[in-house]
Amino acid sequence: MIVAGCDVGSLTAEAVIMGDEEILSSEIIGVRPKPEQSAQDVMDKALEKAHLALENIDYCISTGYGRERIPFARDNISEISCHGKGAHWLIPSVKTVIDVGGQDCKVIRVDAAGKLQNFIMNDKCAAGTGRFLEVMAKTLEVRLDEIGPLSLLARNPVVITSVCSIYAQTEVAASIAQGADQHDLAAGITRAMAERVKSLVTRVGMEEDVVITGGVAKNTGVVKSLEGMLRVSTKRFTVDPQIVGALGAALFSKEKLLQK
Amino acid sequence: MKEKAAQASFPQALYRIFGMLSGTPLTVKEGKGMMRTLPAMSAMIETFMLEPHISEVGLPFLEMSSSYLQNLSNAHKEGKKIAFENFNFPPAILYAMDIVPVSPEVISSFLSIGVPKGIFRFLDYTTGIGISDTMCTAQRGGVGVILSGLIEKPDMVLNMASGSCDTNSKMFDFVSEYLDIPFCNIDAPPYWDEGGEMIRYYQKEYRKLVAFLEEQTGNKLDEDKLRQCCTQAKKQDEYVAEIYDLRRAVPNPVPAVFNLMMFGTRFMSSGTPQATKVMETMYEVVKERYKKGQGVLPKERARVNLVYLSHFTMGGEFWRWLEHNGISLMMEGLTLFNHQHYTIDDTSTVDSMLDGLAGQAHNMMMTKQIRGPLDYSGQWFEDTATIAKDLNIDCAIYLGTLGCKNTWGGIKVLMKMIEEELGIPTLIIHSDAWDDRVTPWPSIRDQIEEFINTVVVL
Amino acid sequence: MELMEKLVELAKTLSNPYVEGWREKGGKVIGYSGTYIPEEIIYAAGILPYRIGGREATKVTIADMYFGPVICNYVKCLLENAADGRFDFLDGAIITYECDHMRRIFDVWRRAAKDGNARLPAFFQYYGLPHSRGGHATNLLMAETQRLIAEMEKHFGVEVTEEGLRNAIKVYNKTRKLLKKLYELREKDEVPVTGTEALGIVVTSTVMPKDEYNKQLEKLLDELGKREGITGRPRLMIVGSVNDDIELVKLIEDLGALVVADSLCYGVRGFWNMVEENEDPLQAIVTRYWEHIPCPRMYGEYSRRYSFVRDIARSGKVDGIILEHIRFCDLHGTDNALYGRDLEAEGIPTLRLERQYGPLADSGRLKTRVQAFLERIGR
Repeated sequence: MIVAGCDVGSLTAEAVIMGDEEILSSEIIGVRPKPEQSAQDVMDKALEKAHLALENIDYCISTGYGRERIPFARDNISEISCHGKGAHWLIPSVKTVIDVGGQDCKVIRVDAAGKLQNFIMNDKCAAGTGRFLEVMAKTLEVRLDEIGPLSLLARNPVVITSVCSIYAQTEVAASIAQGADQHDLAAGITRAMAERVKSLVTRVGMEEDVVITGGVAKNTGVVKSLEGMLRVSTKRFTVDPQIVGALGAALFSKEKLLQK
Repeated sequence: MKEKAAQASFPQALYRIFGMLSGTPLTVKEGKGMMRTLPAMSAMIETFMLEPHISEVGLPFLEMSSSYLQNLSNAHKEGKKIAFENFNFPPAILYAMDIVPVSPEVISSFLSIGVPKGIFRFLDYTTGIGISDTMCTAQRGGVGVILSGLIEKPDMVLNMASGSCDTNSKMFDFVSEYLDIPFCNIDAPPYWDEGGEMIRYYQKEYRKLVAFLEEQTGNKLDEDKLRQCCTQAKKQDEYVAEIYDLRRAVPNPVPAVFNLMMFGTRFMSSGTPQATKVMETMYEVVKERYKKGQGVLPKERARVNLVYLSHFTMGGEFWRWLEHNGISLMMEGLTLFNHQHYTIDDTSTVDSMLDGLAGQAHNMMMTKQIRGPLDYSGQWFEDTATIAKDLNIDCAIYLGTLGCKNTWGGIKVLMKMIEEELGIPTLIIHSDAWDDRVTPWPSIRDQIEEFINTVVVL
Repeated sequence: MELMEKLVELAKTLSNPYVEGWREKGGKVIGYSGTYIPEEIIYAAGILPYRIGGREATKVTIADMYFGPVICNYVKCLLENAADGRFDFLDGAIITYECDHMRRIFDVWRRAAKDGNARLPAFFQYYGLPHSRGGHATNLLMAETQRLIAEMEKHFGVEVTEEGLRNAIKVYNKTRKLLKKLYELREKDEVPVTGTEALGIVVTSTVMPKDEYNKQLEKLLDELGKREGITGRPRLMIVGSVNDDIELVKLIEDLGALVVADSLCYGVRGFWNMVEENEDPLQAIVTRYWEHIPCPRMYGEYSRRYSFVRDIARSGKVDGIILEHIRFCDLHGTDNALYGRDLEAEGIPTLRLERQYGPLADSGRLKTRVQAFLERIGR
């Protein structure tokens, strides 16, 4: 049995191909103008990696922002359920999934079987999403992936109070002008980010084990800051956290197939 | 000498204030932490303490604030009930019944003015428990402090925002449900009058309040205690009236920050001798300045009516900036007590006293003028027109909070009316009076400066 | 089902052939803002009571000129409709203090008209509502109602008689009973009417003469008695802010759910309570409107609302409740925080949905959340 999951978001698209028990291949790409194109593209690449063709796929479920527009998907399921599912498969003890993406942020509660229990999303505001980090990285004139490592070497984290990215930018720029240390600023930024995420977590509650997924999960500074605030040690995935949604979709595909 | 004394007792008062905020005695570690933040209190010290004519009132005001928190902390130990009530609820009646008031708006203001970036985590706490972020920061800060257990849990909720503010009222509704404590609604009727059906309705609501308080405390209202509180409240009103008249002078001799202290005094301690002392001192200082022709520095270039709120952050820098930039704060919304429309004169019977207090409450800011359509009797436009005429206003500025649906629903129309019918320029600023994260103070200040320079001062 | 389609279609627009026909015959129309305004007194004056809504608005540009940034979209759309001429058929409008957003429309509409941006109906009244209960409150409300009647009589040259009121009560109680019957059908295991249809039927009740409406609804109920019912879908209830837009319910139902119950003002809260027919008619009317299932504007009455919601949820055998509120609606937003806590504690799954109303509706966001909720409740 070969199944697939396809996650088409607003910034990136992922595909995961699974066999009976294991991941055969996965792929991540930046989105194309149309969701159908993104889906096709990322799926083709994943298939190529696995030396398979689309016909070999027994069932495919789509998820994400563009999930309704994927022609080769038999069904679509919310990215919320898919993230919960995927995270649970990777770490069966997981009960809380914190997904911090490029443009949104979600906190997902699952039960012992990986079934969705509750969730909350912020998809209106840049605060607490990857976008915030992007804006800050530009202001700091560093690469996005440098922010994490820089923040870990801070001695005196700057406190950034603005929740809105626009004002935070001004705050950071002002701090730079006053000679604030780059490490301290990076730490202030990751901390501000973590605070926004924490605020979402409190609304839906947290139960261990906790895992952080999404693009921002790669930012060690944010992860550490958030762990400190929530007083929890989060688990780490062994795979790229960005594919968790597509992985969940693939797992749901498997379930659907087995039901038939 | 005065300055030294000021600097000596202020940290102590502040220490007590924040010690009370923690609810429990500070540990050495916490105390050290508090002292580390004290240098950051320099803004507040500057606003309330450094200039002798300000500190004369500032000191007793800060002591009164400290007592307010101390009373709160000791209330249950002393067997008293704590009433969660709104800023626009003059608490004389509560003091008369040995009930300790706590107003979330007062707590929010202590935090947003006194503690750098201090209100934020409490605002965030409220959203964390599911309160919408569109609710007013005026309540959210204090509610965050109370619901997170840092202050004694109140025993009852008294809502005097009914009729003028849904958001405030709904927060109070929520707190009563969340903490499972009794709720009493004191409703301002849909229209305003003096001596008519509306005030009579309100007097009945006020009686309902007293009955509720008697039930909650298990004590009957004591006529003598009530008389004492009413006598003090009346004295305070007299000072308010005198100061109002002195504002007419050019330059206006009332320092901007006195407005905060005037309404702060009423909100926290109306009816107490401590409040009378603050008002008396304030009046004396203002009178002196009037005699000497003293006003804002370097000289008065604009007489501003803040139609609603001012800005409660950064140690009170807002008032200090106005004072040193030639901008006279003629009236700010919260100081508009409309003393001309009621009196607490008749202290002969319980009924006459309750009617007096009801009259005072009926005319409080928010209660009086935003309960009905803008152009109706005693409503927002009429009040603004009265101030414009009495105090010779150059311009009207709106500073509010994003939580205020009522005023944001009507302010643009109000400002048009003011420009057309009163012939003065107006400015609306998008900001939040308690949360600088919405619009930072420098941005607000620059907009006001620009407006004064280019529009007002011709 | 032709009759069903016709009735639901009428809900999509503001004006309709019934309103037009009424006016052609020389009839007058008075708009009203919500469920606290006693329609019967308007009916008794021989005037058509018409609930003004926000649907059909495609933008809020004029509204944004007058309202601040934190005002509810529904109210903005109401004003925009007035600005765009969609309420030009009104001879009068009565605005009441349902909430801080709605009450300011009384000021804003007048100003917009003064500026030439909207047409103000010739008869334009504010109906003041208190917030506390008690004899003095009902007296105040009665005086205010009498004032409103007097103004209406004077302006339109009509008379509101006791007889007229009694008759109005009969007609309106009939509507209420019929709507209750409709809602009872939705409680069955096999539901013969979708939530989308039900909302359409309710909205239509607010925009056409009740006598005619009652006839049509009776017929419809008869037809529904023979209609095949729907089963096998997750049964949902909607609670929260005003909604006259059937697209919202359609969005939810298109995801595979069936909305079988609500606690909404275009819904159960609008028709649940009858007017007593054996008392002084004006007194009975004022009492009914004042004491009907309260909107969150009545502070301190959460328990009453909660019991109502929970009971409706139980009779509807709902699988989950959507607690929606329009952004900036603090009345429903705050109640929903409490409902969420208490319903979940009783084992009823809930979804809190903060949304925009109307033309700025954010359907993508809503779909994701509702879909996830349906996945959560496992149906």
